[in-house]
Amino acid sequence: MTGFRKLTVLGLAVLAGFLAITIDTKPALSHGERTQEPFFRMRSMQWYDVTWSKTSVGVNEEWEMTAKVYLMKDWPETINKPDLVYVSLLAPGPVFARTESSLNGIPARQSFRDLKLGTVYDYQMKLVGRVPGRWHVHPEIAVAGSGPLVGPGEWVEVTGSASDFAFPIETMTGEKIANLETYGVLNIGMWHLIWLAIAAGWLLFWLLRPLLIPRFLALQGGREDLLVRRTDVVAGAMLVVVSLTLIFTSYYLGVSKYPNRVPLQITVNEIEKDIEQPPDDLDITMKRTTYDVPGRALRMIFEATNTGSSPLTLGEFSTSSLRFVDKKVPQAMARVAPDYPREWVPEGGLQVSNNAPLQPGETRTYTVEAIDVAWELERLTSFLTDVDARFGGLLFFYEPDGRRHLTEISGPILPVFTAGDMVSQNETGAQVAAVSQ
Amino acid sequence: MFNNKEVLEYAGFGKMASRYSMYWDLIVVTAIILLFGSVIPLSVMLMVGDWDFFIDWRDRQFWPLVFPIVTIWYSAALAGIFWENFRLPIGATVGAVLLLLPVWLSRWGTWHLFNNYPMSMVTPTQVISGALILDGCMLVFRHYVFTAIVGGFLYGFTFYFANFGPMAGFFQPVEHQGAIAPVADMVGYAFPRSATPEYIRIVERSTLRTFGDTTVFYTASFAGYVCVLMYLIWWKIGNWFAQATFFPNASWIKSSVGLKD
Ligand SMILES: [Cu+2]
Repeated sequence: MTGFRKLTVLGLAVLAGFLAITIDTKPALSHGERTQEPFFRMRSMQWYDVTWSKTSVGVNEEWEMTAKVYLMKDWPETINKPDLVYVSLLAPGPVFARTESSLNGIPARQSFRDLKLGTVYDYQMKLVGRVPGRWHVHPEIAVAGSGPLVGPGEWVEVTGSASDFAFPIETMTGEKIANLETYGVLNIGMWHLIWLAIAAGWLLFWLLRPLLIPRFLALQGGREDLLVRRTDVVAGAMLVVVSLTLIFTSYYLGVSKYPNRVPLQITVNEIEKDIEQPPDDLDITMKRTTYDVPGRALRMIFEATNTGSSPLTLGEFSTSSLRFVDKKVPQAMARVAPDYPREWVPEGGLQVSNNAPLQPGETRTYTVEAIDVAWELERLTSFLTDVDARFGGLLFFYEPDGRRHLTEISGPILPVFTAGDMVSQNETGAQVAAVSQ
Repeated sequence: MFNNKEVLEYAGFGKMASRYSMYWDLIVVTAIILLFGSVIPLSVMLMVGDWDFFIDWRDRQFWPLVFPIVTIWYSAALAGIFWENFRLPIGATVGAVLLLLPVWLSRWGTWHLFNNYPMSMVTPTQVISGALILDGCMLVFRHYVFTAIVGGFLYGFTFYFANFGPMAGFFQPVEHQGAIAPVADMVGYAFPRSATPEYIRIVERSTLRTFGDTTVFYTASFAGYVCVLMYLIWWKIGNWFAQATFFPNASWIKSSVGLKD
């Protein structure tokens, strides 16, 4: 009895532990968006001006996600060029339903071919709340052969009851489908039940007899006549006839009910016209970029020449959705919406050595620092172990009236181990961070 | 209806032996359900994959080709074992049922309840209709080669027709953002899969298309021919695996555990 009791206690403990693990799971903070290598995220697509029209929606309530996405000219060699892409979103499963989407205003239900590097595209997606909960949602463009490239994420809460959800559509033949979620399931399920019932009948017809050993013995003894009788053969023939009849009946019923049908559509669209591209009156030469490992600081030294006719002030350095903003530049601060998710706007901001407006024709060497723990949190420091130790990003310069210039920068990046004797080159950012504390 | 008594008498089974023989049957049936109920759905998942998972992958070329070709393996192997050893014409049906039931369970549980996929996107495909024809043919012809030629062909050929009818509503045209889409495409679009971009669908990519609107008849016939071949091969494989073979131990192994030769 004590042995049994011990076992029971042990069993309950294991069960409780298991339940504790499953129940106490907080919603996952990330869903793989940080797993891609830094060069992948810093030199492929730069998302900016991302908006989420609502952060709390009811079930069936529509909201919208918009963004601009710039495709870097310094696209990494190791991943495929954006020759075939699909406009999508990153969310934990189909918790939102998608009603409309577009790239540069062209419907994006299907894929696009041949996006151009060095170009800004206009992303738009309309969604409705479907599954109640709090979900992290990012804009995303998937690139064939490379994978999904995602922008910044925001928490969007869906309130209400999942059972209220409905996605109604009307076909071109006038049939109204009340809810796409459940459409057709009953009909398919009913036919499956019919087949299962016939199969069950057939199996029972045989399983209700002595099965293995007696039949095996009878067969060995040459008494096949006992095992397969004339009536069985007739039953078999009938089964074939009934099955064939039912198959073509079900086919006929389906196609005669829906005589107008179209096959799956696999068109790949082209972006015929670019949107108006932001100005870029800057000529930039990268000098040297370092990443101070224990200090979590990116330092860039570059030479910038103003080739336009307005003075320009550096306001923001944006890479992999992180926005390092010079808080002393009001034009740049004006671009950070008050409700923009703070995790993407590092506190440290952007420190610029001399940020007086760059006058037309002037050339100046800038020393710029972006210091923040976000480099580690977003796992952007593993370039130390990558095959492609280059970084990239966007610089936003502002005219006095707030007009924004977009400039791509990229170049080699060098690690600096200030606590050099303690850190080996192969250690990851996380380990390095631990050392520096 | 049955001649159970005769069979048992011939086997020389008394009351007691018959009872234990029935228990043995039950154990074997349970084992077959557990084993094949997991193996068949798993390999269909691996070999057919997205064409089976999603309604917006069920095209007129690859879905009706890949699905019957893969599923006839198990039906043929099981049919071979059951027929050759016990003259039971149920193998194909057993395989088809042990595919459909677990797949419904996983679509409804894993896909729908836990991952929020709407059932309309992930309803399963059935091959029971073809399996019944296979088993029926087995009885009629009493030979696996003829069963393969007639039943195997019908298994592959009828797959599309057996499944398309109930799904036909999914191919009604819908206008969406100024372009045409079947309802199936709309299901795939409305319920986004982050890691399954639209372009990865393999839909009607081959030269069969040049035959025009009759694509489906060519695909179905081709599926039928391949199924004939598959049935023959897998019948043999099934029976090969069902052999009882003894390999004598090497004498040094016996002696190392203290046994005499
Ligand atoms: Cu996220």
